Amino acid sequence: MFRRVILEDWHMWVPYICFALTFAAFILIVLWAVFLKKSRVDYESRLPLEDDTDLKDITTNQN
Amino acid sequence: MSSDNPTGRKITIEFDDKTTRWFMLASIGWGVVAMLVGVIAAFQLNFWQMNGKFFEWITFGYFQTEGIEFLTFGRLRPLHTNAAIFAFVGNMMFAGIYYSTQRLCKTRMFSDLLSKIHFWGWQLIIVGAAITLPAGLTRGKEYAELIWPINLAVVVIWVVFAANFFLTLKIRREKSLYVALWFYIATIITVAMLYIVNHLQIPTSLTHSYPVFAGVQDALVQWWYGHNAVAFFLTTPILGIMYYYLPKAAGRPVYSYRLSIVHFWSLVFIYIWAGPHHLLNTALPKWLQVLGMFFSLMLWAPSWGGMLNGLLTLRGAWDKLRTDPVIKFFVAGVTFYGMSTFEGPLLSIRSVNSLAHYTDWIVGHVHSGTLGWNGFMAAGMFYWLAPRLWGRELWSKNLANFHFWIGLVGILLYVASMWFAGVIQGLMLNETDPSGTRLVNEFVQTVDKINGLMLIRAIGGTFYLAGFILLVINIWKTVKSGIPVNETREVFDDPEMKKDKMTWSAAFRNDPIAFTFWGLFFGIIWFFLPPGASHMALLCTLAFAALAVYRFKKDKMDWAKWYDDLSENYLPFSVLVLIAVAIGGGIQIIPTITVNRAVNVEDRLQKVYTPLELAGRDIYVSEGCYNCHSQMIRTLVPDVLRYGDYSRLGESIYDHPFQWGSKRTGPDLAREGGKRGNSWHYLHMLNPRSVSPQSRMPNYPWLFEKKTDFKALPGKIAVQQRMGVPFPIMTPEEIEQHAREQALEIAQSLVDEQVKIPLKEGQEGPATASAARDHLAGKEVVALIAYLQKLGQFEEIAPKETPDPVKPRVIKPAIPDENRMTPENVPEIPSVTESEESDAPVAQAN
Repeated sequence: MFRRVILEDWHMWVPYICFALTFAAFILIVLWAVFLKKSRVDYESRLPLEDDTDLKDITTNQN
Repeated sequence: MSSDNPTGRKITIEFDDKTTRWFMLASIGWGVVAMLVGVIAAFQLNFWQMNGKFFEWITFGYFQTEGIEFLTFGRLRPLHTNAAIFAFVGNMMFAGIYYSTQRLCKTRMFSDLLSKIHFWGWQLIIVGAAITLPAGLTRGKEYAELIWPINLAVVVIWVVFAANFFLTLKIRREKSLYVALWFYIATIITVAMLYIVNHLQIPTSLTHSYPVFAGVQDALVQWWYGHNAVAFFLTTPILGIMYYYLPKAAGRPVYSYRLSIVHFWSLVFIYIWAGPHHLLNTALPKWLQVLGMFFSLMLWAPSWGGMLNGLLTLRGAWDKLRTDPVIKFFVAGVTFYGMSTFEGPLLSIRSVNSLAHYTDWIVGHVHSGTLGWNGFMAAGMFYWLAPRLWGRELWSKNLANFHFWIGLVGILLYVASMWFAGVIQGLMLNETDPSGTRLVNEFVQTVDKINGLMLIRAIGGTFYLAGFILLVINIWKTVKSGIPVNETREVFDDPEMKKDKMTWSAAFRNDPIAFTFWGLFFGIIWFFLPPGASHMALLCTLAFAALAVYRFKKDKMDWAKWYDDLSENYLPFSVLVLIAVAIGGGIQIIPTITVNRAVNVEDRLQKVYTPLELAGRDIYVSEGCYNCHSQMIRTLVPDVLRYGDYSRLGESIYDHPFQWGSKRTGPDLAREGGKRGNSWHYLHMLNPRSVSPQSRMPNYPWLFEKKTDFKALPGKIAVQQRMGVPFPIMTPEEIEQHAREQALEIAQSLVDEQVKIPLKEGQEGPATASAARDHLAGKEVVALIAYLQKLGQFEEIAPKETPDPVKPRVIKPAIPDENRMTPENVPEIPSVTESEESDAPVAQAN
């Protein structure tokens, strides 16, 4: 098998190596996400909503 | 987090909403142009007269023409795609980014001047594209057609945008970077990388250049760019917009912030690899095809994770769907995102792709993304923004709701008709008789069969455009009744805020990075090392994995802190994104660039073009013939039966740019050379219906009037030589003479066949045969015929009889030498003589 990998079709292994690469990254990301503190998650997820007063001064159209 | 230590003072800031307004209005304006051009192009595929002849009718015969060069499908289609991507979605994306970034960073944009330069520079680029593309000034690569001076302008303006954005992150008053900003960072970095690599080129004049890559390399780089233009220009920024505007519209936070993190990084890591799925079953090396398919399938997970995250954000707010047009557009947009990202990986399966590729199914797939995802997200965002930017409620919610329904009907008509058309055409093209050795349908029959479906598509597109015009009216009325408003807000200005304090060392020299690097390093070399050493590498991999788990359990807080710090430090974060996308690109492209050179090609090698053929090729590229004709016979039986032997990698190795194409509205031309006479091509260009009655190709009367630019050829050939194309050494005079002589030969053959020379009213034709020959020889049509007749010509490369001398490879024996018996310690075997053997009793021997 190794002779084939080394001398002949090594390119064919690239997809598997790439998979290993991205899978490792994926595991790290999942761990990151899972172990994020709840307070932090709650805080960050509400960041876009901090200013939800922005429609109060908008004039109504009569249509 | 900013609320941790609000020791600073409260200040009032005014956001720069003017830039958002400008980009939004520009997006709406260019959106109408892009869609209108798309509708015209769609009708052109049903009615060839739409390529200019219709001017005769609408001017009641005052304007006589057989076709207008600025309006052919080949030139309008690039204008449509560029306008839709860069003008409509580009401006929409900038509007969304400018508005949300300021609020998420709690600061005004870093520089109003940079914002202005960005806006006006981008509009200038679009105007440049709108002028040059119909003029036939193109690089001949999809979504990368713009000529080199405009490419330079794009790079400069993108850098201006990036500088303004990153400097805004630097001066932000919010420690945490919200996930929408991550998507914007990925967009800016990746688009810059893709754009620069795919636009590496050498100019031959102010308006013309050749890309540095050729053939398979160019194909790979192009679709790495093309696919990721969809990923990082049409998807990631819009996902950022989704993560900001959907919670705003729904009035609740995103369903799962943790899922959004996984969504982001998975997309960034996976998307960049999937480009080769545009080249399945072609001459592209198989490992790359497997790679493209593999990673495309993996995309299902993050894409659907993102879609569900978007839709579930509406939990408890679904009642708004009935009344709020913004929510309607967002929900439909996110649903179309899910549908098209389900369909994309499906189409990347090689067997499915063998049916769907080059057909209208792909066109339907692309438009479910652009019309459904991009178009509806844009509409939702504009309807949400307009009241806030002009301080006036939306002029008419009813009209917005009507826009939604008419747009939705338009998309469904478009997409469904294209699905049916694609599948029907694919099946017809692949249909053989029971023996399996003869095709049943002519190409033109398959196009005829889907004529009605193509018309439904054009009608669907018209519906969608009509809906968008309702948006124009609605926004215009809102703008007219309101006044521009720049929002002001009180924020804490805390100079002591601990953000962006992470050092490079802390960012990259730590356990998570070290274990990932070394684990992967040993895992990868395990594949390549000889026995023994490979086992050690595998052991090292496992050891690092075990150690990583141990250290993670022990130092969980440190690891978590690293991750947390990263999301509060925009520069290390951006570098990590760059690494993630660069790895994917590098692994695909670098081996192909280094390995696939002419010297390594086996089997067949493309014959170098003559000067006239090169001139003809430039005309072919300029007219955008690749928009309807491929030059790639796939390794599929129906393709081979229809067009001839499958295309080899070496057969396009000198093609700067490659012209493999992505859609067959007309047949493949890879082996067109020599199939038909010169006069057939001549008549075909003059009026395709004269030789193929059902054809819907435009007439090309200007090719019979415009002169071939012989003088430009020496400069073009010099550039090609610099890029490694083995043109024979010739002086400029010899090049021109060679081209003219070949043109005279072709022209003579046309005169011999007594072709008709098209003349304008009142114009006198050549009086003699030699005058006719001289007249024709200088015309573009002759150069184009020279090129078409060259297609498919190659040299056989015989396999080497004796292999190249290589360093002998030492093969290690299974039993190491030190364990072998030396002659001294080999026990003596008693010799058996013939007589003893024969003397042995038979019973014993048995």
